[in-house]
Amino acid sequence: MNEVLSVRGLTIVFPMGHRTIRAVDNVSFSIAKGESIALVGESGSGKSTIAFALFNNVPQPGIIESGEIRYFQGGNFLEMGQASQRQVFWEKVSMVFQAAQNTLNPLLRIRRQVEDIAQAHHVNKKVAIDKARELLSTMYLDPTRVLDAYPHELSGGMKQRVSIALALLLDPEIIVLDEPTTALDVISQASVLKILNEIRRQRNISLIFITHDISVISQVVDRVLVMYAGSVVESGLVQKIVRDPSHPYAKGLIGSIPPLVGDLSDVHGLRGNPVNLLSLSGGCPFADRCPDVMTRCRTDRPLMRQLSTGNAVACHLYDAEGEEVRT
Amino acid sequence: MTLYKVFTRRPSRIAGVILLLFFVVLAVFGNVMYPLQPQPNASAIYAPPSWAHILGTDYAGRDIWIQIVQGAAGVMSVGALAAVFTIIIGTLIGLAAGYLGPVVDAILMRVTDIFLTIPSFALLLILAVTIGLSNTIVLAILLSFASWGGLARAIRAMVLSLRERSFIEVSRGLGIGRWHILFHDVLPNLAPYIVTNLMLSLTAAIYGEVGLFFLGVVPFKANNWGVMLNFAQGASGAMYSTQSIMYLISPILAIVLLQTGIVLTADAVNEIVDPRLRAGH
Amino acid sequence: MKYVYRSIVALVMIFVISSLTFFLVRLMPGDPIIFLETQLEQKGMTAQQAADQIQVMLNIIPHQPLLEQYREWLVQLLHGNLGQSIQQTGVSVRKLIFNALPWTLITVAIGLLGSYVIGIVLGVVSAYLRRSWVSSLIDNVGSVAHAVPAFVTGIALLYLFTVVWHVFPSGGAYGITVTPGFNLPFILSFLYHMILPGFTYVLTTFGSVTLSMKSSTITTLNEDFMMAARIRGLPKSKLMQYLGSNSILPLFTGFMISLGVLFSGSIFIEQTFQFPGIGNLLATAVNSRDYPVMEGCFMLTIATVIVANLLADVLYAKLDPRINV
Repeated sequence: MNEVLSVRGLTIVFPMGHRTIRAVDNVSFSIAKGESIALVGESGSGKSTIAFALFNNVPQPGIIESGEIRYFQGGNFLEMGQASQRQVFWEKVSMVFQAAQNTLNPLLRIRRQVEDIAQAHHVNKKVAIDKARELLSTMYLDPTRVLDAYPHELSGGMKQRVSIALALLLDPEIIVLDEPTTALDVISQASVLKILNEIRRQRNISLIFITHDISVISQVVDRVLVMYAGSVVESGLVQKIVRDPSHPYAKGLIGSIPPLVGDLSDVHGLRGNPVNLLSLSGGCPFADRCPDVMTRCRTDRPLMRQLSTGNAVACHLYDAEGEEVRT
Repeated sequence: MTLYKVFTRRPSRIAGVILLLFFVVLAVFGNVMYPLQPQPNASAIYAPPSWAHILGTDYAGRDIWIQIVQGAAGVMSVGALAAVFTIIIGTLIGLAAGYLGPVVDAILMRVTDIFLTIPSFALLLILAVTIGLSNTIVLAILLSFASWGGLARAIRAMVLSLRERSFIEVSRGLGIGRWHILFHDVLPNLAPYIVTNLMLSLTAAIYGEVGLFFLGVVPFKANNWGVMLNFAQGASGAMYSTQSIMYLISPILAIVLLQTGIVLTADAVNEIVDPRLRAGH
Repeated sequence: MKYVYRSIVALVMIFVISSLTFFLVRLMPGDPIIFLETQLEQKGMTAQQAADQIQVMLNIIPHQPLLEQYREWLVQLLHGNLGQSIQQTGVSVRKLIFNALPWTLITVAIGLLGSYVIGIVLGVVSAYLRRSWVSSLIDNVGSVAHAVPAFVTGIALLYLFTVVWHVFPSGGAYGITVTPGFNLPFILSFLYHMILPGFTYVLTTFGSVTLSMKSSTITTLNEDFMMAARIRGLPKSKLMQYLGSNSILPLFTGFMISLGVLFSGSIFIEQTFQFPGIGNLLATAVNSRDYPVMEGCFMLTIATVIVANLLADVLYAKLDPRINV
C-alpha cells in the first residue's frame, strides 16, 4: 500500500482555566494514494481540530500534546522547521476550508491571490494563472471573469469552487476538505462533489473529508472514521458503516440522517446532547448517551477491535474476537 | 468574573478608583473644609510648600492647595452634570434614530454627522461667547451639546442590530407597545455601553470645561484649574522660575491625576458591565 | 456621479453651518451689533457713521429685517468677502484667515500623520499582546493622553523643553532671523518650531487611533482568510501585508472625528505655543469679541474639515473594492 499520510497517537489538548480539554484523544489513521476517507462526527468531536493539526495550525489555545504526522512516509511533520513545513503546505497538502466564502482576502482580486500563492511557492505567475484558468473552467466558471473579480463580486457557490480551484493549483497529492458543502444548496453540493470525484480519478489525489453529514459524501469516499468526543469509535469501509454500523453511536449517527426517500418517522436521532469534554471521566465517553450502556462502560475505556465484518470498533459490546457480546 | 478578580487582575484599576474617589471627596467636602477664599498675603508670595501651605502659595501669597480643592468642586460638578446631559442627549437621539423609522433616522444621522465633524471646541467657544455663561447648568448643557455625537451614533447602531434580534421580534409580535419594548428590552441591553460611555463623557466634559476657563472665555471665576494654568503660563510668569513652579505643577497634576483616575475606573467599569468581556475569561 | 453628489452634500453642509453661525450670532441675547454700535458711538461716531462702519465689518446693514441682513451677508460671502476685523481696524477677515490657515493646515497634517503612524504601530502591538498587561498599559496611556487637555500637555512640554532644558523655542512658527518663503533656513526653522506643537497634537490624538487599530487588528487576525493564507504557505511578509491593509482600512471611518479633535486641539495648542494659526486667531477673536473674525475662522475651519472628509471618502472608495462608486 502506497501510504501518503499516517497519523499516529495524535492528542490535542485545550487548556481551559484549571482544566484541560482533550479535543483529540490518541487518534491514529492513514490514507493511501488515491484513497478518499471521511472523518465523521458531531461538532466538538475533534474532527476539524485534526484538519488544522495536519497543517500544524491548531487554533489557539490548543496544543498538540503528543503524536506523529508523517507525510509520504517521511519524518514527523510536527517536528520539522517552519521552512520545511511551508514546503508541504499547499504544494503537497492543501485544504478546502469550512466557510470557504471568507477565506479569500476581500481587498484583492482573485488573480492577485493566485499570484500570491504562486510567488510563495516559487511558481511562475503566468504558469499559475494559466493553471487557474484551466481549473476554473473545470469548475464550470468563466475564468476571465472570476480572475478579475473581487471576492465580494462572486456568489457563495462560486467562491466555494474558487476555493477548490486554489486547493488544486499546485497539484497537491492530498486535499483536506473541511465541510466542503455545508454552505451550499443541494444542487451545488452535488455538482461540487461530482467535480471532486472526477478530479480524484484523473489525478489520483487522496481526499480527506471532514463532515458531520455522512450521507452527502458517502458516494465519494472509500473509508469512514466515526469520531466521538475526540476519539475514533468506529472505522471501516463506507458501505459497511452506512449499511451495518456496529458502534451504538455510529448507529445513532446513521439513523439521524433523514433519508431522501421515505418516511421521516423512521429517523432515530441520538439521545442527549454532544458530550461535554470537560466532564469526561475514565469510562467510555459515549456511556451517558448510549442506549446499550453496561456497568463496565462507566469505568473501563473500550479499546479498538477488529470485527469479523472488517470494521474496527471501540465498544464493550464486542469481545476480543470481534463477536457481539450480547444479543 | 467576580468584582474581586476585576481589580486584582489589574491593580492599576484599584489606583484609578482611589484617585477618582480622592477627587470626589475633595469636590464634596472641599467647601466644608475651606469655606473661605484663600487670602492674599504680600509677605508670602510664591512661598514654597510647607505645613501651612502644602502646595505653597501663588503670586499673591494665596494658598495653592485650597485653590485646587475649591477648584475640584467646580470641575467635578460641571463635568458630572455635562456627562449626564451628554448621555441623555446621545441616548435619546440614538434611540430615536434607530427606532422611529428611516426618515427620522436619515435626518438625525445627518445632524449627528455635522456635530461629529465640526471641531467641537470651536463650536463651544462660539456658543460660549454668544450665549454667555451665566451658571453651571448652562455651562454643562453647552459642554454636552458639543459632544453627544459619538454616543448617538453608537446607540443607533446597537438599536438597529438589537431590533433584528429575535426576542424583540417576539415582543413585537405579541403586540407589546413600542415604548414598553424600548424601556424593557432595548434600554437594558444598552445599559452597559451607556455606563462605560458615561465615564468617557466625563473626561471630555472636564477637558472642555477646564479649556473654556483656560482660554478666559467664561467670566472670571477664581480657583478654577484652567484659570490657574492660564495665570501660571501667562500673566504671572510663574512658569519661568523654580521658586514659583508649584503654581504651574499643581493644576497640571490635578487635571492629569483626575483624568487618569477616570480612565482607569472606566477600564474596570467596562470589564464589570460588559457581558461579552466577562464571557471571554 | 457619486462624487458629484457627495460634493454637493458637502457644499450644502458648509452653507447650512455658515448660515447657522450667522443666525446664532444675531439671535443670541446681548446682540453683538447693538453692543458694537454703542461702542462706536461712544468713540464719537454719529449713528450713521457707526452703521456704515458695522456694514463694512460684518457685511450687514444694521436695523434692517433679519432676512434682509442675511441676504446682504450671503451676497458678500459669495463674493468672498468675510468682512473686516473689529479689533484690527481696516484689516479684512479674509486676509487674516489666509495668513493663518496655512500654518494650521501644515501642523495639523503633520500631527495627523504622526498620530496615525504611532497609533497604528501601538495598536498592532496591543492587539498581538492583548492577553498581556502591556496591551492594557498601551490602551490606558493612550486614553489618558487623549483625556488630558491639549494645553495641559502643551504647557508641560513647554516647561520641560524650554524652561528646564532649553532645547526648543518657546513659541512662534519660525525664528526672527529667517524670511518666510521657500528657502532652507526658513523650512528648518519652521520644523524646529513645529516639534513641540506637533508632538502635542500626536499625544492628544494617538490614543483613539491605537484603540481602533487594536480592535480592527484583532478582528482581522480572527478572519478566516488570514488562517487560510497561512495554510496556503504565504510568507510572513505577505501575511503582514494582508493583515495591515485589512486592519488599517476601517480606520478611515474614524478619520473625520480625529480631524475635528485636531482642529479643536489647535485652538489650545496654538494659544499655548503662540503659533500664528487659525486656532490662535479664533481664540484671540473670541476673547476680544471680534465677531467677524470669529465667524470667519469658524466657517473656514468647518469648510476645511468637510473638504478633507470628502477627500478621505474618495480615497477610501478607491482603496476598498467593496465600496461601490
